[in-house]
Amino acid sequence: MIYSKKIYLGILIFIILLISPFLASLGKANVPPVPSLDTPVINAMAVKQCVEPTEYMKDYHMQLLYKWRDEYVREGNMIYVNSRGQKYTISLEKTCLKCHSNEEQFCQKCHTYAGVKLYCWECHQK
Amino acid sequence: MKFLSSLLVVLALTFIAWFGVGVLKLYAVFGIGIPYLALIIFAIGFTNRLLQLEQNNPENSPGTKKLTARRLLELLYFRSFFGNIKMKRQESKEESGPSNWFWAGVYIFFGALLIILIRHLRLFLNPVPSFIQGLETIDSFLTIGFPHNVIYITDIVFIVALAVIVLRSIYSSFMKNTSASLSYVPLFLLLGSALSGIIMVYYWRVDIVSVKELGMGLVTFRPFIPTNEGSILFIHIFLVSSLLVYLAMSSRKPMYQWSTSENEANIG
Repeated sequence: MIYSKKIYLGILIFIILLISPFLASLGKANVPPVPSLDTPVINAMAVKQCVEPTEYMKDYHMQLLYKWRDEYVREGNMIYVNSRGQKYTISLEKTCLKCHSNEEQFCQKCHTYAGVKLYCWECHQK
Repeated sequence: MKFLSSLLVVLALTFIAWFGVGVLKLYAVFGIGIPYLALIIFAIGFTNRLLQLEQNNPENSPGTKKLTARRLLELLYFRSFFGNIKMKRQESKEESGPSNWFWAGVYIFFGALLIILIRHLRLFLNPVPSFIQGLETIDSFLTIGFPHNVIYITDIVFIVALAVIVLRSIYSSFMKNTSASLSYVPLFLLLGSALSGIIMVYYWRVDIVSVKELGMGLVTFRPFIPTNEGSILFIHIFLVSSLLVYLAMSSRKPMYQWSTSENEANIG
């Protein structure tokens, strides 16, 4: 079977498209982002723990925020009881951001890495 | 009930991935080995298929120019789904009607799939290019319907289109007579891949940073194995890998040969 030159061009384009993510990452290291916990409030804490366990917060923080939004705005409930039985005030600015006051070094680190846009500030004021 | 055997095959694959990761803890096999292997098989198999495209009858060939034009029309326009004849020459309107709707559906289906694939590049490119970020933002701007989450428009469109394709092929007599018993496997693989992906966004959430570390590990050849993520991530990867292998190895003829006259000159 004799192939025309065009099919080789086609194959070349296909292969380049397929390996383009590999080409774009040539020589790059696989460095995950490290969100910084270095804020005055966190440094002053005796036991450094978030509202819920870290693993849960990593996967479900947005679900928790949605839950808080509905509880506060729609049901008027201002207190959240976590899995350890501790009570927290439902507030992005007064609870979450009190400790995590370093948005650039905390939130944005992972959000930029994973390409997930933050839209807190479309409603909330900084 | 031809689709049942295909459904069983895909369910078995899902079970294998769940068992391999959830019980046997073979994270490296399902997270790194299988994706690499699937990509290599896909590259070789698809190249082979591209070469098969070239095999046309030289005695009755329409010539490279016409052939190229036809293939471009097929690739960019899905000509064979459009009845493969010009609208003006269609004799009865009834014939052209349903196939036009199907053609539109095919366009939407592949369009949604393309956008979904491009969106996934955010997990394999660091930093995320702005056009992928933009696509992500546009695709996920709706939040109505699911009260607690964003919806990807393309996810919904893709699942609906896929459901239509599956139901259409189960109920339409044409497909019933022509389809082999395992011809639903790619459809169910697509459905399984899409559903496992959607489940990760809405129900059993995974740490997206670990997922991207896995993806970046694959493209930089510096593997990272997320061991504290749910099996659902590995089921998703395994089903997509299976689909790639299917696309490379299936005995189906290339798309262009669905219409017999595709590689031949017009007669008369």
